[in-house]
Amino acid sequence: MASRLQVNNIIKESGSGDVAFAYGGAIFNGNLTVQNATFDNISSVLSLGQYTNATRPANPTQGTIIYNVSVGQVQIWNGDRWVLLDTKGGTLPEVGQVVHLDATKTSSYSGGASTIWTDLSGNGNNFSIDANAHQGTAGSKLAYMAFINDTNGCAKNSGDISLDNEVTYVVVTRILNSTSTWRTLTRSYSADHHVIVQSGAWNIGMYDNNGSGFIDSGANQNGLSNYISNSWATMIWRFSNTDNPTYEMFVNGEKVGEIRNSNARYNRGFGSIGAYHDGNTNPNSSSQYWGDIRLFVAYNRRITNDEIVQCQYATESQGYLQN
Amino acid sequence: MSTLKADEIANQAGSGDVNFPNGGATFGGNVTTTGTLNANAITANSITLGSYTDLTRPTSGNVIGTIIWNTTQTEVQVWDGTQWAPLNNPYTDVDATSVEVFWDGAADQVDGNVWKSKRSHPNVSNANCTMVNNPSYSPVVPGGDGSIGYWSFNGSNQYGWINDLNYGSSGSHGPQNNGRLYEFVCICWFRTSYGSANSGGSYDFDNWSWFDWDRSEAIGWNIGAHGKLQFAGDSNVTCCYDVTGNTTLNDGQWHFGAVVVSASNGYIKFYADGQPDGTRNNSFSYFGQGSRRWGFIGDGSEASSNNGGRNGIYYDGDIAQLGLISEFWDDAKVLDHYTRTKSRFGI
Repeated sequence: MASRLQVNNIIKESGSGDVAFAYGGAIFNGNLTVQNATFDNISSVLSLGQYTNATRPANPTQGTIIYNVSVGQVQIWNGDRWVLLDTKGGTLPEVGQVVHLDATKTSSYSGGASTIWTDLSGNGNNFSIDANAHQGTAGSKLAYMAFINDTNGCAKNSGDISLDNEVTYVVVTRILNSTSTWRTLTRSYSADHHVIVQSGAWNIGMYDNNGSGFIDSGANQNGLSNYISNSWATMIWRFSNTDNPTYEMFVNGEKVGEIRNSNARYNRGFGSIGAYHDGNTNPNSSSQYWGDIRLFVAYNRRITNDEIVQCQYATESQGYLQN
Repeated sequence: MSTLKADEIANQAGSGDVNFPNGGATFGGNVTTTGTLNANAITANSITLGSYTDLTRPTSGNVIGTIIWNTTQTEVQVWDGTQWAPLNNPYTDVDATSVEVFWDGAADQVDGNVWKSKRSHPNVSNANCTMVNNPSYSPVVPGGDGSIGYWSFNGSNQYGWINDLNYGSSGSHGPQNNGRLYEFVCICWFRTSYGSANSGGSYDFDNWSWFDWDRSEAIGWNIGAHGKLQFAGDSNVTCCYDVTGNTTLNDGQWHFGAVVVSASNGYIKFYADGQPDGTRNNSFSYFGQGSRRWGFIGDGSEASSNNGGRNGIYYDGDIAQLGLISEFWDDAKVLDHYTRTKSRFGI
């Protein structure tokens, strides 16, 4: 048997400083942890552990890096899933949030048949739902609210959220694939569907209950990049009282429609999300169901183009767009 | 100096970790571990980066190249000497010393209906392009890395006028500030499905223009309805050349077009997606022989001032990056720009 040195601590003879292994390396059957490490030439000498899609660890420490031979990529565990090492991250803009509802976080929807969808913006704008609407496991990134019928209902507040003029919605969603009725994203208790898809058609716009009726943005539901695959998309609507433009719609960062018409302005807040409220506060008594919503954030300002990109990075990197 | 020689070093218990509590370790050879390891040469089942938030990551004393996992942004970041930068750091510039104008489609380069010039001739405060009739701007190119957006022109009335930059007789700009362009490169990242692909088509007067300071007075750079790259201009020798590339590119996909106009080499040479796409040999000393003209994006110019007269032809398609570089680029240089920017388009 090879000779063995059995000690608990090894220190430099002087009492502190680096211990040199000048004539060879070492083999560890356990972990090695150091405070700081400098790699002289990481590109030529770093060999990552090789895994396949099937064999890679299921829930490692956040920040763990591997080489995935199935796809030929260096991947890092972001706390939720394996992503490319250079995947750009991000967070949603925080300034101006009025409502922030997240079906994937237990801080927003706790599960256990809860009927409260809790606002994370800090404004206390919680919404009532029917527990049937929640799909998946509470806290899972795959969870969402399915506002598709009276059984599931929609999300309602006791009154309109105070919001007007310059407004932005950031929504991770997929719109109900049917033309049999209107599809309403939000509706005020007094008037106006701020975002709606036309009944019997695919046209996306807003509905002005004060006289103009449906105003088309030029975007079509069946022409959206996520339509055929029915995949999740980050959809953003921006409203402005300058009418330059009044209403803009973006899907995964790409502008797909706009309205330049003062009648399409955002004049009042909303009391229901995911359907028309039918004039009451019961989530199950609604109509014009919108479809599936994983994340809904409303701002009391028009976010910038940079922030649209930021939202896209955030929702992609944090796993909101997983099918 | 004391030296400890042993084939194996183990915990006194026979198994478990051995601690180096008062210092680190320097290895003169390789280290193999079945656990986590940081050292000169590593074979490890996995590497785990240190986790920090935006607030807890160290702001000084970092070695350039240090990488961390940022749990706030959920991304790997590297210390570049002054800040923590995302590992994904796209190339948003152009590697040139003499730039007439360069526009990049990143979201921070757009302010309302103005496409800001990222670089411009030193004698103009800016060469911003003010859009007219509402061409739409998308902050993200779908399928790309998210670092660039694009302008969409409808081909019927949308265009933009370029601030101050002018060429032609008694013009103000160009490398010698005389309105003349001697050795220059026109570049464009674009997408269009306008027209019908026709590799045999000759220069046409349609789908003008990516940028234009008047084909018959200075220069014009565009793609024809046949789908081939087009260049024309008025040189000290003649007007207007009206030359095209070889490859049709009006397929609805993103492409990088370039044309190198070189007096010293006596050619106008096209490039499609970084590769040579046709060389047209001609003799000239400079372009910009005709009347002084101001420029447009999305239409042809007849302008004798900012936002002056136009051709009313209009471009139908998308533009993400556009530039006029006043220097010579060889094949490798054109390919280099394409290679460094294509990932922004998912290519």
